[in-house]
Amino acid sequence: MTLDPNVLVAALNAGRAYWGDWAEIFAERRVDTLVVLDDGKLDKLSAGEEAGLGVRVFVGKTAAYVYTSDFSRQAIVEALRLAHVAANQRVGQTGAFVAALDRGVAMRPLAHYRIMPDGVPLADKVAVVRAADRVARGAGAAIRQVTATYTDSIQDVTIINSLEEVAQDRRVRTMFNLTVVASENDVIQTAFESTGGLAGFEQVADGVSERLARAAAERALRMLRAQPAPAGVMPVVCAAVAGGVLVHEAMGHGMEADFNLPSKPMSVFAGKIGQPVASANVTIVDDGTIPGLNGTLGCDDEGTPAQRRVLIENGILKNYLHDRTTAREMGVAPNGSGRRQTFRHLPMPRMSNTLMLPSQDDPAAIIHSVARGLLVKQMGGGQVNIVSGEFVFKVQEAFLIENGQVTEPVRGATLIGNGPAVLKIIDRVGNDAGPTRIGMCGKYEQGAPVAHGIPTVRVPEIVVGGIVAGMSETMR
Amino acid sequence: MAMTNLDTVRQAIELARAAGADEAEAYLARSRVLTVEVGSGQVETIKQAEDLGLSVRALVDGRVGLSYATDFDAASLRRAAQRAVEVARASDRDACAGFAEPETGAPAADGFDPEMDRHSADEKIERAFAVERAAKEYDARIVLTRRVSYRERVVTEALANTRGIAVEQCNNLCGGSAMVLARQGAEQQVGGGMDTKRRYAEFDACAIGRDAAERAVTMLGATDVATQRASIVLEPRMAAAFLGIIANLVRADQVLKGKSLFAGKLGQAVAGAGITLIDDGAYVGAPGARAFDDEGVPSRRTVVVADGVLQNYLHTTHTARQARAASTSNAARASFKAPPDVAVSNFALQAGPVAPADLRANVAHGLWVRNLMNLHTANPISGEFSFGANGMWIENGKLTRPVRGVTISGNLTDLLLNVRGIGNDLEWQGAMGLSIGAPSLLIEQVSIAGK
Ligand SMILES: [Zn+2]
Repeated sequence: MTLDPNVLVAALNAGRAYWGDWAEIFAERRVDTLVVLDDGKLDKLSAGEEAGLGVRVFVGKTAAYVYTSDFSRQAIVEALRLAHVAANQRVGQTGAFVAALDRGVAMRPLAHYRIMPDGVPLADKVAVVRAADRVARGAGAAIRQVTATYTDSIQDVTIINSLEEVAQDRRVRTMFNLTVVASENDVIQTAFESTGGLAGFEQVADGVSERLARAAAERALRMLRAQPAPAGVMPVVCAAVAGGVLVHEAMGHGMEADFNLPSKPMSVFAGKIGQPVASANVTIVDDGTIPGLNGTLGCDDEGTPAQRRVLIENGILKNYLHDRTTAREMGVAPNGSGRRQTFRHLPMPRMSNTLMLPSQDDPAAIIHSVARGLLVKQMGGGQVNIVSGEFVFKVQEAFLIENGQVTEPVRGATLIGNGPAVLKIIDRVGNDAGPTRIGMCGKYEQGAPVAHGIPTVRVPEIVVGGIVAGMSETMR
Repeated sequence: MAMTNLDTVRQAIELARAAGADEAEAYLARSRVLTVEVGSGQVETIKQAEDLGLSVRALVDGRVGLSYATDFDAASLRRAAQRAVEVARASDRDACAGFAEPETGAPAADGFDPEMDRHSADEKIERAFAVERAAKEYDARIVLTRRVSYRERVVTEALANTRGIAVEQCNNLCGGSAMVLARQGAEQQVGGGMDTKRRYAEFDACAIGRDAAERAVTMLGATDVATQRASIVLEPRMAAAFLGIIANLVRADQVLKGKSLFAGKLGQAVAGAGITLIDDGAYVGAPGARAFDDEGVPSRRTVVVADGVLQNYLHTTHTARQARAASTSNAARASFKAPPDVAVSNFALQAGPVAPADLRANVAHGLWVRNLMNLHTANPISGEFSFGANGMWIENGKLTRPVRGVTISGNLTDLLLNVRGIGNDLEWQGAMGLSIGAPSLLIEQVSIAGK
């Protein structure tokens, strides 16, 4: 088993007869460690290694993909042959594959990590979750459950193709998260915190997990006293600390080029490059180059170097997120968004680190501007319908705003709305940049590590789904 | 001579013992996949592969560790075995740790259907085209299709442990999916269809295309509704999605950790009268059927809820030891890299007597729910939930107009207790080793938030 480009190139050359219009080998080796502490005990502990390669052959617009864990030259040639046969089953229009990165450029892996996790004893990784458990449980008698997870992975990839392009990347990722459950008098509240990035063990060492454990435990305890969230239409202020789930879900996915192809315009943003799609104070970028962030890459999984893409600039739609296939169809250069979960998956356009950039409003003044509404301090999970633009987000931590003042904490709020509609009515954008938060983005059953962030933002009107207690009459 | 799958897992447990394990278990999965995606009458992608993975669990001094490999040569197996022992040494001692014991008696059947392999790739590509054609022919407003696919998967699993289990099974599944887009003026709506079958002969490509198209077209012109409390009727697919949440509440591991609102409720009414939930991995009629679970325990039938009363939780070997119960054969690995966890096999809410249209006929005002979003955010301990929903509005028993952009929220306990009608239209949704069956459900007093 080898990721040596020379060996892979020799195998690709040996299978030259099966290249079709274009052929590519994506080879991957990864070493993962997983530590889960649950209910006060180590619940899952594993470490292992997997390796494999995927061969992609294009004939016209048909892509065939064959993957294997066998790195022998015969196996690679056989994979090429199978892919070639498959790609020829039904051949679409032919056309040379032109969108390309610089020929023969080898990417240098980003060396953002300080402490390589594979050199850290397993006992130290276990200590990270134990410390978090201890701190969270110490925060109060009402803390009932703590689940803490540590993971690290070292992923090495080599990508070569029939255009004689060679790219290599090493992605070292370290992640920690925990969920804390507090309960008192039949009220149960859950709080979540996480950190992670293209970084080594330093990401979670030196008290990081304890700090997050304290934050989560204190939030869970605070939310025990929260009243059920009000339901209905109201202004919502998302604090900069809330993270950019809204930007990722409600806007980012719609900018992925596979939803915007002229032949398949699924997204509400299709065909709108150069047109206003948001308020003039909205600028959104997706930047895969920011050192250490969770979505950062040296190159994407097709070998295109990571880039900073301006998606929306002052309200105008500027770019989509492209992989090679979408870039070819739209006649542009791929911009580093072709990602795949493993060698078992075909690449597709994905986000990296998606950020709404600060504008000019004072965050305190944004809150003062609301007579009655909701201040969101932390988002939970979310989901979006690309075609209609509809989204739903769960809110982890929210407060009522009454007469411009932040008052009571409220629980159980859900935000529901339409991404493009929300983009157009965002009327205040703060001059503050919040910390980025991390996520595992899911699309067509493939996960990709991402990050997102926003400044303080006001949406003047959004549907809040709360709990409509004890009502039988219709209300507006 | 080439090593068989059973030879490989036996070799792995011997290597683990040699590396210092008191007990060991090895699990091997070998899968063959074919996925065809088509669009506009052309093949967009074809994916085929043979995938391998093996994991070793080692028990050392009452501690368990797991490691894995994707290469089965002796050096790779030895490295995985040694790593499993190292990992075990860093873990916590657990009096209930250990592997499954062999059972006597006739093993359950696996669900292999040889028919699937008798049909050519050409024919399977044709099935994917049939999905797309059916969607496009359904209505002139269907303008696009995406992710129209035929997929199949054959998985051979072998498992051996030092208690004496050495078993092998092969299962296969085929299915298809479609996402279609309907357009009317500036408005567009998406509809999805998918189906998974154990038997190739039962796979109906056209039904998938029509289903996706119908869902997209019906949603055109959807608006929201006023905030209110009203009844909902979940169609079978949505009832199954909802049952997916309940499936987590009956996991013994979640119960033992106090993470389920069903903890401590054995023998109590947790759902409306008439609700019976059964898990049965030996039922070969559904996609989750298997001969044994991911610890090698033969599949069996477990009554979880009988007529609204909670009867049993679902167990692995580990949770069974903790609870002094027997494994219910519900150990499942998310992948070969993951340790066994509790999961349902074929889990179904048994069908009732009522035709789905008759369930709706009894609703004065309410929502026929055909799509739910954010199901994963329900709180399993408090039971609080808030889901995005769309579907059709029901007025005086009649479907009137499409509705979107509303949330339904409340508490899972109330929702289960407020089930007032059970349809006779049970449908299975699922994947290999895990499927959920449900009929339509009428639920009263649900809070719906709209404008
Ligand atoms: Zn996402």
